[in-house]
Amino acid sequence: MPLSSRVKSSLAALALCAGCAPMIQTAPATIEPVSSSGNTHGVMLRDTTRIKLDTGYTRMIPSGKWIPVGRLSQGTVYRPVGTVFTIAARQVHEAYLVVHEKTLVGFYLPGESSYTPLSNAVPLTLGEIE
Amino acid sequence: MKSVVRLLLAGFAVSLMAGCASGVKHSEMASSIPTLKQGEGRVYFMRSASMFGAAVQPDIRLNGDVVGESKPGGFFFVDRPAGRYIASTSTETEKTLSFALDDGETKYVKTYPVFGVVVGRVVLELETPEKAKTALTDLAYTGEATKTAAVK
Repeated sequence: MPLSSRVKSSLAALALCAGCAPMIQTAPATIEPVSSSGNTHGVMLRDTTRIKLDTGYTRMIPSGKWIPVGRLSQGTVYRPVGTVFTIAARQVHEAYLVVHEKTLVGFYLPGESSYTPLSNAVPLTLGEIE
Repeated sequence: MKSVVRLLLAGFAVSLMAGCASGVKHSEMASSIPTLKQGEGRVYFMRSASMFGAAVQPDIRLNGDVVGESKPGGFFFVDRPAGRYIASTSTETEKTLSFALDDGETKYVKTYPVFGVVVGRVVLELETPEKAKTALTDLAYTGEATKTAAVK
């Protein structure tokens, strides 16, 4: 019998309390700096976007300006301007967006030089900025 | 009987207050905070004055080195070379926050207690500069180096 979302949320909260919240799965990653990859245009995320991590936790990506800091094989890496963004499960990680064809495919964790993919890529409403 | 209850309440209040940071307020020392050296960034650690979990005041480590304590109503900062960092606290379990620090950048890390199984845990999270600067105003300095400087 499928669990209701309320039960799932309660179980996630209980797991967090008990210290057995899942770890975010990561792989080492080295970004190619933006200066050598050529793309220096920032993007504007027009809408605050809700995402669900593979660990079951949700996060809101703030709307606003994001600038490219480099590239991974999975996509372009963007960091927020004037704010910070983190993802969390058992631990908390500063995270940059990894975007491929206006779709969020994963996160680059700059404090660990690692990459964590999203199982379900999320379309983003992006606009170019000068 | 009423006086006994009052005394107990007063004692309870004093015991709560004893765990609070009581140094110089950020607003009073902001002008004396040194500027960053080239090649370094600054990391602020801060905790609201909430009494929830006030007795849980673990050390805060940065890349394994103890840099201060998570105290209710307190803040401190450290300057470090640009690079990758993991901040952590440890009570019944270890909580960590990983982040990058750029040359000339200031990062703000808020700490706050959450329920644990036996004792509370203290979680670390990056705070936006906008919210952090507002919150810092009323917090008291709990770091060592600048406390000395502020006394001069």
